[in-house]
Amino acid sequence: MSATRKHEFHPDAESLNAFAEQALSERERGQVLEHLAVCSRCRQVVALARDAADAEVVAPSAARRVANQPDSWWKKWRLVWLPTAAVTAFAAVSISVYVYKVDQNTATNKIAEQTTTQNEPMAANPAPPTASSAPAAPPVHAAKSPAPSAPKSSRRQVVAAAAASPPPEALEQVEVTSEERPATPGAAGSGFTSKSLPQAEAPSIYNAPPATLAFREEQKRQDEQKRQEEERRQAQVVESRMLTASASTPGAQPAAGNVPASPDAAASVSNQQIVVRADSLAGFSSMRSARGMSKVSAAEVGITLPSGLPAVSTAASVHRRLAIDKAGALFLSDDGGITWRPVQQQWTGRAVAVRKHTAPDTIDTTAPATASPAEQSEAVPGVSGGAPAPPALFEILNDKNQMWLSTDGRLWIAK
Amino acid sequence: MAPIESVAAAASAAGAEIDATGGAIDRALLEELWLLSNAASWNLARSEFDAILLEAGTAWNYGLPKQTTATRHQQATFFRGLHLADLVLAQACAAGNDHAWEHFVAQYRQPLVRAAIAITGSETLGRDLADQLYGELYGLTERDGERRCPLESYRGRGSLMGWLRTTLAQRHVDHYRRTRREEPLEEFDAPATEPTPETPARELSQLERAIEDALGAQDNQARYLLAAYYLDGQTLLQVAQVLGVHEATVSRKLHRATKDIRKQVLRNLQRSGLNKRGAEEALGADPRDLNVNLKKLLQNSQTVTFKEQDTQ
Repeated sequence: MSATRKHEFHPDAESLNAFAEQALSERERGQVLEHLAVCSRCRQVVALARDAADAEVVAPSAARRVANQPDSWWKKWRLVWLPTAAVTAFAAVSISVYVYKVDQNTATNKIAEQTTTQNEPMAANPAPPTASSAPAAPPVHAAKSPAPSAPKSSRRQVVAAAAASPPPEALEQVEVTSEERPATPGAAGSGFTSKSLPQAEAPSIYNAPPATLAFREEQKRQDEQKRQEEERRQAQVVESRMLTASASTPGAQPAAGNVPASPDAAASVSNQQIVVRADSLAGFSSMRSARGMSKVSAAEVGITLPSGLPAVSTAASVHRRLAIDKAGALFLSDDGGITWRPVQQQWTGRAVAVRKHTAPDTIDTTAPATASPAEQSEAVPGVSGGAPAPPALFEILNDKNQMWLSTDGRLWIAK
Repeated sequence: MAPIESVAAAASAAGAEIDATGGAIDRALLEELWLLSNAASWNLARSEFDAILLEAGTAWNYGLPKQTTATRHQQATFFRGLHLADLVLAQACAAGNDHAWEHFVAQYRQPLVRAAIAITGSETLGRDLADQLYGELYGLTERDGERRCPLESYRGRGSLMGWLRTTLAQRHVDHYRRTRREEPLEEFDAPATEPTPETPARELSQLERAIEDALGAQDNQARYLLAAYYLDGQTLLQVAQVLGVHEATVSRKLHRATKDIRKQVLRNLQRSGLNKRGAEEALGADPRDLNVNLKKLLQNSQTVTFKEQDTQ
């Protein structure tokens, strides 16, 4: 029997499998190994069967991974999405509620300010509010609906006081800081500082019907009437001063009507009609004309004070000038604004406006026509050539609308 | 079914012991194996189960050399080493038990396909191979007018799945070798003119003879390692998995085998009349000048395998 013929008899599948699975005895294993050493066919069979076994071991585990992976991945992320969605929904609701409360607080503050302003003159009247006092209610309604252009998230809310028939001070814009705002609408009623606002009336504010368009139109009309009346009165004052100046100046041509006699005079008139507007950052966004309010040239506002800050409010009397910078510091100049000295603070809060207090009936209309345009633009009443000028009275307003008076600009006493 | 029935009849007639090639199978052992195999699930009778075990023991002679009678202990060791559950399932399927077939299909159909795909490296070829074997297992082929099922040859020495994989591999390798012989030759390349060898012909013949002797002197495992690694191109890991050892062990044994062969070749050359320096110079000859067919040398082993011993 040749070697080739000998190995034509191969071990059967069971012997090869038992050899690969180490299930044979040593003697049987040696016999199979002896055959494998000389038979490439059986070596190949054993190797292929072994590879298939290894692939079978890997395949189910891989299949399990493939089968489990999507579920596990999806389950894992599904568990993440649920709380995420819940947190997002909660955050959205919280933000909505917060914005709603801020709006409501803003409206409440407006109502409180307006009511305070309107009730101050009412406080002088001991008569209890009756149906006849109904005209005081409309501002409440007006404030109930805030201006749509007002930013909701502004930390500094400027509320325009509605004035059906308020005192001139009510026309000034009042700054309401976030610290003064009540935290909740319910606390808004107890958070009012107004003495004249009855505590029991607070709920009626919230129950009041919203402002209507007709009411707003009525309010605008009243505002317009007051503005026209004020302008008319100022024009009369200027006209009388111009006439006086023309009469006291030699060679001056009498002016007809309210036409100015010279370009300088015209400039003076136009400058006098300019109303000082306090810088909004200083707390006063607008100071409209009122009785006793001094009129300062627009050029004065551009003064830069020793503090390095621009002046937001100035007042002058002859060569003495007072100016308040943006930080609320007061400066005094005795040489017509060439040099400035700081004035020690003797008032509380922050000074936001300074003005020369003069009653309309004390306005001196004898200002010399030869005065420089700057002097004329200062609209300094009471300065006349030769005649002794009445003592000037300056007043300072702080950010809480409190007033201090001074005659020399150095010593201030509370009004 | 016929052999099982005959053995079962013999077993029942034997009483407490079943005569098994000169020995006897303990009844208690059979009872224990009956319970372990869960053969009752496939509606196998106890006598049929005994016959299956007797057939397996007889075919393998209980793992002992021929002409050796197994003691009861050796029988018990052999039977306990069998995959009894797989064995009774395979025999039940071969006997046409529908319940067993359902279980076989459910448990082995898909693994069979995956194994075939892994063996062939192609899903199409793998499915074809698996379907072909599945048809054979189901008994669609007949030989001499009798339905033949390859599962009848399974004796439980290894696992049934391993047996199926090995059968698939056998079918695939045989098919590959058969079809490769039928493939037409590739382009014919004219052989280059052989250069004149620098080493004298006498020394070359001495070297060839020395190598043949050295390879023939190697033991079975060393020759298997050399053939699997250098001829078949298997990796160390593949060889290690077949032998059930670590691949480092395979590497070490391979290194030792090549070293031994070199020493043996030098020794053979010196024995043939060359001095040590001449022998080493002869080893430095160009391998292309040598007319040594290692594959042929390894296959021309003078040893006889156990199957051939059985047939002799």
